[in-house]
Amino acid sequence: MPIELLVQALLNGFALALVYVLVALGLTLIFSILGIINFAHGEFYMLGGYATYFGVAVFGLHYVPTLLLAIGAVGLAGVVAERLIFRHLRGKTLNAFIVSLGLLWVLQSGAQLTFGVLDKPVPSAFSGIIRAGRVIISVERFVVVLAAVGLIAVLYGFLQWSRVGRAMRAVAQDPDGAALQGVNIEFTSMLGFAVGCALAGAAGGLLAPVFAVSPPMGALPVVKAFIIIIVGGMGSLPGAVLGGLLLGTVEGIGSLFFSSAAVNVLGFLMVIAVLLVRPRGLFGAA
Amino acid sequence: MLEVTDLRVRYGNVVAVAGVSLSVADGEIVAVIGPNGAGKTSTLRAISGLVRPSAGRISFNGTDITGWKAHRIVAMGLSHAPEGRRLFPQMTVLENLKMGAYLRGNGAALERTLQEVVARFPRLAERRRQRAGTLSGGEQQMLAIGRALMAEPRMLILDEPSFGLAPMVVTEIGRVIQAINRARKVAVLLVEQNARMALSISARTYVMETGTIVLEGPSASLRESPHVKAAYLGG
Amino acid sequence: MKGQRCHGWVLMLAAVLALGTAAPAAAAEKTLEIGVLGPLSGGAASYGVELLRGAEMRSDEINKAGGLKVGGDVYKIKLIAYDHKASAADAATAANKLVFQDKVKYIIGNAVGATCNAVQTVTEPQKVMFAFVCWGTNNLGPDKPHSFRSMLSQWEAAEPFYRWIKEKRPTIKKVAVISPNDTSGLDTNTAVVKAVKGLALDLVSEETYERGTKDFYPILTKILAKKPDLLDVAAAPPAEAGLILKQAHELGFRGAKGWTAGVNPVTLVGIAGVEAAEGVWSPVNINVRSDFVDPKVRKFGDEYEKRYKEVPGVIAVANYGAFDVFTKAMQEAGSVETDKVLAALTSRPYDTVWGRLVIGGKETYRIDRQFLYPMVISEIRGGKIVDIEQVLPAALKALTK
Repeated sequence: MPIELLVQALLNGFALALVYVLVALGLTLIFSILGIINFAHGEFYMLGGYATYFGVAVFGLHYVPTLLLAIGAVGLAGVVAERLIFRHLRGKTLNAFIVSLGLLWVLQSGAQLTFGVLDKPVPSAFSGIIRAGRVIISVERFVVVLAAVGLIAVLYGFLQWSRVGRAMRAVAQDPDGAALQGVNIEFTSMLGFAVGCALAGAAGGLLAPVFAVSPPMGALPVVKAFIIIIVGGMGSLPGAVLGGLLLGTVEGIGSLFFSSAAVNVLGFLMVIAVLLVRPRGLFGAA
Repeated sequence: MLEVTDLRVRYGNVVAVAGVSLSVADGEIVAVIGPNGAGKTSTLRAISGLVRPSAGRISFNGTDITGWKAHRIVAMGLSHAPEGRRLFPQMTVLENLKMGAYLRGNGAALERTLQEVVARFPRLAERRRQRAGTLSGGEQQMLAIGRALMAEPRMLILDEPSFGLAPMVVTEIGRVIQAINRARKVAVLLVEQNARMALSISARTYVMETGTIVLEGPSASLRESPHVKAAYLGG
Repeated sequence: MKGQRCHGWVLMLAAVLALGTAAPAAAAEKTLEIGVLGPLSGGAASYGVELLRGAEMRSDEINKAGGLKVGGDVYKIKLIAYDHKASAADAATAANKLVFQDKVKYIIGNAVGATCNAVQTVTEPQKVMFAFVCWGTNNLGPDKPHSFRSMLSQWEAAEPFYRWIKEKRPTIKKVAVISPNDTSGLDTNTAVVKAVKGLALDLVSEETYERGTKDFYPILTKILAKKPDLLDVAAAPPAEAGLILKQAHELGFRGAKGWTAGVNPVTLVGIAGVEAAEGVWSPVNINVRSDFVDPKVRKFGDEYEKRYKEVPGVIAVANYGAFDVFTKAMQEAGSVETDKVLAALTSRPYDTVWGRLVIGGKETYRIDRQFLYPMVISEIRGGKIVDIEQVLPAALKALTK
């Protein structure tokens, strides 16, 4: 097998996996702060996609400010969802499971009724390709990768060094302990939920021009995100990044040898393999 | 400084605290001793806002804080180093300390407090980049107290600081509590199962059993009480 | 005086009541309920939407003209539509509902091969007439006498399409084909492979993908490594075909592009972008404004666009045509009973939106159940669909000779 093909396959895998890492980070952030798994997380990805579609294709705004607006809008949607629904479900895993599944259907059907069922193309702001020998990546995807890496770095910095970010980590590690240092748990949880949703929205906005938008678009990335966080370990940021890179490698290389249906199975095989060796994922707290 | 009147706490149908009244004066060290399950921790959790009391009144520094959320009570100057220490295990020692000063913002004053705390607990300075979860029990307790001090509180609530520590370390913790109290004029409400230590460093002591105060008085005289001697000081 | 006025009032009331109840009885019409199935949501939603709109257009025309006169009766047509999301299981459920609950005798409209097979397990035993645009080869056969395909399939289209390509561009030797990995996709690939090999072209890659795939870089990396001269996005639905071509373009593919099962190129261009969609050839797609189409198609296209603010693709035209043919056959039979309509359907050609339409296909399916009409090869140029040539399916050529 020519080496370029291998490099190209890896590049294909990584480029998208990094975007799915954003989705996974949002999911895992919400899980660690509120103790719930939001199954409607993919629908916030979808909302980010549609916000971008409306900004670029309908209102004719430039892509970059639209993306920022979309991230903010989905963050706000997250605030609403947290205030109305999820604040009442803190730590109630099973209730949250059922309610978020319901929210998934409401948002997806709502999108079908409001936006129509057909795929809507989002014009790309970036054209052309970058070529290194026989390895190729489109400028569009290259920008997506850069933006995803940038957002991951921003999130890391925010959680690591900002006062609010540190408070989020504190709530995740010990809510009572955090409250006793003066952290407003409710406000911080709401903010954490919003940041988590905004990350999904960012991923949706980034991939909107690449894949077009449609109401069920959130299903695939959220499955990838689950694979990533189960492999990387629930609640771990470096785990999610590593899980994403592993998934990208496995799917990228796997696609050279297997059909696309079989490649989708590879991710799940990876989950099983990791769970057998480390039940809490590679970076999961014991 | 702290005035608790007829405090009651219940979890569902279980009554944990059945009418407790106690007070702590400015700059005073007050201890609460009693067996497991007497309701000591529940009393403290109600004072610092982690649980809502079902009845009673708590006032701090003249303000009624009954039913307030924990973060508002911290802002009043009441710091609580809770049972089990509740450190942030994935954070470094330094980050834990900074969380203690969460409400104070950054600045020169904060840096001064940090220097003071680190000077009091030199071990924490050595391990400032280490994760809190990897510290020894004694170090974790020092970090918990240090973190509570970072808020520059007017009153400190300590829940079982000696729990699980070697006798020598317990003595050291006791000395530290007295030193803090003297140096910073911080009032201390100390809950302990280690009655010997609690009675030796406190001015007054309450004895709590099954949700109520059964005995109270100056620590020096309680040390001579036959009930206390029999139940808490091993004869 | 007062009493008389009262009498008059009562009389008037009685008259109104009598008239009111009698009026509908005088104009009593029968209602003919016709089922429409299709994916109305999900990746193949455009198929379902077009099927339903095609049916709506024709049934509204009939109803506005006073209803369908069959023998001595006049029928108002009522559509009952269900969404099966391109899933065979949902399609079986929907077919059961139509046949056993709504008691329809005609289902006109369905797409996506596997769902047709599922529907047929219900319609054939119950002798329910079923017209569809599914491309599964085994959707037609002597064991399925009540099933009709209202659109040309890969078996009619692939051979003349590739013959035309070979003549027009003799430099094209190496062909790659990609389709979804379900019945219609696999059957389309098979037909394309047969045509390609029959014409002594070189098939370098035959790939399938899971419906709903968004990222085709992995598959395309494999395909493009084989350096094809022509990439045929055979049975890919418009949105997915658009993504494939867009991503192939990004990966540097600049060869010729075909779309054997191409429908609705407008959606494809929207998703792929003008540059990546440039030059796509398609044999079954239809441009409703082209010089090659019957004036009736053009008229249909104008009205469709006025009503739905979108340009109709071939599936809308096909289902409009199917509705037209079936209702004409009812009139021909003088009955809405399925046996009589079945006999009428296969007895003679019909003039429809396609022009002259013949139901044939015996040599491929061993039964005449395939709608045959002239097909037009189109090319996408600068984002517009340009028709370049009309060719006849082999079966139609044989019949018209």
